[in-house]
Amino acid sequence: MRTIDDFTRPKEYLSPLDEYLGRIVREWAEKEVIPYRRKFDEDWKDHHIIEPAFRKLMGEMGMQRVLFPEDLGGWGLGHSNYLGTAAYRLFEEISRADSAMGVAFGVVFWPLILICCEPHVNRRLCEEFAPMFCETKEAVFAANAMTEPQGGSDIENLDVLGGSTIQTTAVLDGDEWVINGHKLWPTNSGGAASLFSVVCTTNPGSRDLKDFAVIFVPANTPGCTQGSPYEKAGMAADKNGDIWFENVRVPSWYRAFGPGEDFVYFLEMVSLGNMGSISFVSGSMLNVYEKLQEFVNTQYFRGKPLKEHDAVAGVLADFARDLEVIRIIGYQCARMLDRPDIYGPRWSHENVAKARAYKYFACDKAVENLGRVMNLLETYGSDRDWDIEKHWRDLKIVQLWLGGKQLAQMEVARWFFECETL
Amino acid sequence: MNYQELFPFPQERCEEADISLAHTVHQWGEAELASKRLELKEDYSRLIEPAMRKLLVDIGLQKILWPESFGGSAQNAPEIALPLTLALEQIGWADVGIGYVFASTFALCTTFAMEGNVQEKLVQAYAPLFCQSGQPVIGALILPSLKGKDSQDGPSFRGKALQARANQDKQAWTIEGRNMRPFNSGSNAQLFGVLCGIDGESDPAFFVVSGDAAGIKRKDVFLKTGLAASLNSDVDFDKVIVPPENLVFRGLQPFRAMLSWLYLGISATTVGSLFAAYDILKEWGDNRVIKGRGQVFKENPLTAALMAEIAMDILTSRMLLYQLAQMLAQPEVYGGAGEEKVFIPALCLATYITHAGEKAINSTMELMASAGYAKEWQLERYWRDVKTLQIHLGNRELNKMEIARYFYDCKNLEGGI
Ligand SMILES: Cc1cc2nc3c(=O)[nH]c(=O)nc-3n(C[C@H](O)[C@H](O)[C@H](O)COP(=O)(O)OP(=O)(O)OC[C@H]3O[C@@H](n4cnc5c(N)ncnc54)[C@H](O)[C@@H]3O)c2cc1C
Repeated sequence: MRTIDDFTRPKEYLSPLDEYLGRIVREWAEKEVIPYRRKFDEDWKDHHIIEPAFRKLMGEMGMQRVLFPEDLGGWGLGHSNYLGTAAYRLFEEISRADSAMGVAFGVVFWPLILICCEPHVNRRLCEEFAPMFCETKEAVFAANAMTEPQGGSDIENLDVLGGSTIQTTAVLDGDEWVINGHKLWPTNSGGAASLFSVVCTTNPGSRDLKDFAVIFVPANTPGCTQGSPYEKAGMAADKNGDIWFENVRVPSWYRAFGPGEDFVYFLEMVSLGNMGSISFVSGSMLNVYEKLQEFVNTQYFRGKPLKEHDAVAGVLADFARDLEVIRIIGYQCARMLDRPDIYGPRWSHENVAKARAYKYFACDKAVENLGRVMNLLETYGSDRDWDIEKHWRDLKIVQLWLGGKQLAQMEVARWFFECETL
Repeated sequence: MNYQELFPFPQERCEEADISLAHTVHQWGEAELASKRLELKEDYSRLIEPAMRKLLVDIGLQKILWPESFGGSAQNAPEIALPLTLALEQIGWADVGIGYVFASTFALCTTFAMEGNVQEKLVQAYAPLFCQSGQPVIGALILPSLKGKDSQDGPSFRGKALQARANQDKQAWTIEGRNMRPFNSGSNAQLFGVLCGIDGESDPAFFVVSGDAAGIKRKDVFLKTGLAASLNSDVDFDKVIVPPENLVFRGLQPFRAMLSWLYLGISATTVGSLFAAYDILKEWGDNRVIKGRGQVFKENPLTAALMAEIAMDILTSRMLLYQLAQMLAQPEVYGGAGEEKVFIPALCLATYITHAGEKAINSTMELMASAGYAKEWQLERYWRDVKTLQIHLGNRELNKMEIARYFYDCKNLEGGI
């Protein structure tokens, strides 16, 4: 019988770590997640059932360390030419079991990319934060706090708004930043994260991108409080909530880089965030394929397995086609981020726009396909025990985050058609 | 303007009393559900059950079909389709799950209480339950289903497995079925409607079975995407004995008549949920500011274009819904609910409406981003419910076989219904 490994990946540019990562994470998923995941939804607040699996993956197996330089206890992925493709494989395998775990884990990378990755390693911050992630067996989460109550899309809409709507302020007082503001929704907030990268402005209302700042804030800094997690339609393994910063003081060198540069490398977070989103989609869809295989082989109509019905096969074909395409696009996106020497900097407008295009294509197709697949299962389609409905609920938000689909459309149109006033 | 005025329906066909019933149901929804939702979420015992009791018992919606002599309101002529639609829209607006449970129960009861189908003994047996027990009464349907290979030795109907078998011994019937998946409320239904295979006969038979009959075993309530009001579980019938009068009908046409009523119920509930989604999006569009401090959401051309599509879906769905209601209300014009010329359009319209509903709520969520996904904004519940409701129409590809066969005279296609 065909398996998920029959879906194509561009083998000629996979990371040398690919096979190893894929194998150990798949083993972990089979043992630590898949047997328990049907109970995750009710565990959204406390993570009693979810937490041990994170501990195993991130703390014990060490996946939270991979980006850091080797001499600081990491695996040196940030120095490699395989950042994108290795991360894609990791996230995809995790998401096959539970895309919210893929997200929660993937977002640990988000702030760390800024400081751990060539060509812009911030060695001092790496040294500062490596012990937090590398010297423990506990799962340690990081979060990227960007979205604010008055509109997450606007903060990402940097071409048009230049950061002018950011309300979280950072004021330099001697050799410390003083941060005030309110963020909401970051993955791994809701009490999970130990470290935040906080998107803020050094000059409220300014459109000058030099005033756009990304500053690291350990979650236990006085004045930094997290609210309890929100209850959502899905994605229980990802906690999201409010974070308040009230006169939070951190050393001045906790700013990722400096005026102008923070903005540039923030765009790299956007392109990698979009690539990650595609991996969550393809990972989930791979598992839907597995469940679907089981259903259409074992459930009968007119004396034959359901898959032998031509009209049903049409839907199965569309699903397989779209998963095949999404996966190839996802790896292509990862490859583009692996090799700036070929495709240009990860933060270029071109790469950001293309990553957004791939992401929203993947998400639209996933939402459409999973809806159709649920229909094939009749009343079993909404049954928690068939797992497909969980992927359907979880994936919908991937379509909506990172500024929403409409912002993605505008950025894609702006780049490909050189629109000037959008 | 509210949605009643914005999304037209054939008011001229509706009685004053029907509109007023819909108004009462809307007030029920506001008082019993909308105002308590944030606190009680989808809690069955604290929110849903009390709300159902108010609607079905106190307002008395479950009495409509039954004769006045039992305390019912004797609205068992097909014209009930219009008031039913008006009421179900409002129930769906408040809670899709309650709408679905009510619609399923109603469809089940049409088989023996609707004008033209009336079976006196069954009416006498069950009318008191609906009119005098003071309990909300739930009926669950157990219909043909996709099943595993081992089911292939058992009875089937139009390609799908019949989940139960019935055998007659002397007078009484004995019904057997294992791991049956009802359409709704397996765990707490007081009444089951089961389509059974009978050895040696090609036509299946539909039985009404009291929920307290000996031999019924209900499994644990299973978790599902939506429709919290339907506490569903798989059910075993272990030699359940029913009297001969509980065999309600045999064959395709009455089965399809019941489904036509179910499709109407599913469609009306879906349209009601679209009104709720509209309300939520309207508030969002009026107040959310995007693109800096400059622009109210609804004034952005890109988002407005999607909002327009959502409005088109709601408007068209409502129009089609009332067309379906009128078809069922006037068998003398369109034919009986079980005739192919009504059943197939009913299937088409329900498929279209539930698909448009899925699309419209998906897009609404898209426009609300994280707020749409959060429980707090309520939209996500409608999104889950509408999808769950839609899949109760059955496998869409197989259903299309029935549609194609009807319109193009295909000879070899079957779709299980
Ligand atoms: C599970 C989950 C994880 C998340 N993770 C993170 C995270 O790690 N970090 C973080 O900071 N945030 C995170 N978020 C928040 C998420 O990224 C934002 O919700 C998203 O960016 C949209 O912002 P918003 O919800 O404020 O919607 P709004 O900004 O109000 O936008 C709503 C809608 O308006 C429309 N719109 C907005 N701008 C435009 C425009 N310029 N043109 C046309 N239409 C437009 C779009 O339809 C958009 O969907 C997460 C959310 C969830 C639910």
